[in-house]
Amino acid sequence: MFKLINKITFYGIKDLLRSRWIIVYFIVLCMITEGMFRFSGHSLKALSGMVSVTIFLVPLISIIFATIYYYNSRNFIELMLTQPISRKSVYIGLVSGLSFSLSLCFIFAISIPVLWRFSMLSGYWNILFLLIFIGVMLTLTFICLAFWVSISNEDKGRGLGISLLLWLTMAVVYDGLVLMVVILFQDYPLEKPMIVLMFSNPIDLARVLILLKIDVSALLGYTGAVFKSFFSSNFAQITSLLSLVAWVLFPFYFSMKKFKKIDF
Amino acid sequence: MITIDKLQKSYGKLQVLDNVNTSIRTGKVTVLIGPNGSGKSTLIKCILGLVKPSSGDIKVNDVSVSSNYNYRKDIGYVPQYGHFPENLLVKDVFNLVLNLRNGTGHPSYGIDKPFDLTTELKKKIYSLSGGTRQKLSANLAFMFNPQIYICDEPTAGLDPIAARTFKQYIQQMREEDKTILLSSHVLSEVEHFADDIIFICEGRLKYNGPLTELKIQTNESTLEDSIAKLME
Repeated sequence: MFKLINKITFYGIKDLLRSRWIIVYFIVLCMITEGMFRFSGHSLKALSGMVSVTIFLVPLISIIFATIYYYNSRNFIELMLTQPISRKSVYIGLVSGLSFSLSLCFIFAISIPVLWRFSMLSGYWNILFLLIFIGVMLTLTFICLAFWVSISNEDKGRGLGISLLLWLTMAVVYDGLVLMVVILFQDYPLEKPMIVLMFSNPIDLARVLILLKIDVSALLGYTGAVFKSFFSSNFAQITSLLSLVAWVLFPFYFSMKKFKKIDF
Repeated sequence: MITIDKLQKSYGKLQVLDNVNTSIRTGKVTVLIGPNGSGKSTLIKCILGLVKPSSGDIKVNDVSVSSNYNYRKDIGYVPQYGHFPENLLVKDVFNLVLNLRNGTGHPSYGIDKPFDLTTELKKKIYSLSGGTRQKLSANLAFMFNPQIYICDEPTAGLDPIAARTFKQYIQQMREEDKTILLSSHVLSEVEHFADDIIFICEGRLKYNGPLTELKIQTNESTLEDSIAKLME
């Protein structure tokens, strides 16, 4: 089974790395990273700027690209499923091919401009590695969410709409809802519920993790202090990293379950 | 041999296949006929395991299609239109399918039958015409010399010469005792090599048997007239 998955992954990567959209994504991300370093003048400021790009742009590109990729590959998926292989192998091969391609694209686009400034980054390597880790985890999460949406909706327009809405909810609307909860229940101690709310959204979780590492938690006031004290413990850091992994595994598992049952 | 037993498929309230019982004989060409939306493609997809039946069973060489996927090693499938990853080369697609089939079969026909695609091997899929993509689909299906061929309107995207080559190849396969299930709208095109006819309308079998018997039963000389009579 692994041999088959490897083959589907290999040809998926071969197809995707030749795709002009992947090349455009790589160039744009590379230019943004270069621009951040060139115009901010300070590595920490550049990395802080890259956090916003990683938090907003990477999930958006991942979910839209993966949704379109699934619908465009549907007929070829059908052809693969007429071969003597399991649906599970086809699904894992498709997801891993796309995940490798988009993750490699992200890693290289961030790393290449950084390599020119090797000496400038001393002391900030841990932040850079965390940024890359978070970017890759968000890429994987949103690819799996896109597959979940696309497998559940036969209509491409509807699937694309739901994917966009999902990104908008997680990246923008969720924060508004959290703010509303804070205002409505301001007389109550909200620190613990806030931590639970952070874990319920991979974008928020990623943002908090990296912002606390950059040490701008002071800007978040008392809540920032509570977060900092919570996230500085080893337990909390491991839990939050595991939560990011869980955010990949759950949609991956549920969309695979759905993929095994649907009609083509 | 493919046997279909009490097959039902519905999408919500829409009954697409209703109690279909039939068998597709080994070494014969069975042509699946029916108007648009009659359930032909759904029936083919049920055999291939792409669509899960609501109830009933399908057996390919005495193996139930719901039990495992290995039965598909005996099947070559030609879809209505060939769709492949746009940025792969033609030879990549051959290699991919070759890899997917590894351990369950060996290519014995290669890249030149029924259509010679040796000059296209280094071309990217997006640069191919619809007809060439369809030829690629056909070659992939024939590449492993399987026992059963399932073709869903295979000549729809082909030019007349390519369609003729394909039909000649189907006849050759019949002479080699292969089982062929072919769906088509062009009745005159399939009449001269069809052994059996499955006529399906609104998900129900209207006729299932040899072509010669259909003509006797309807008292008509052509397949087209016989089907027209059945639809009256």
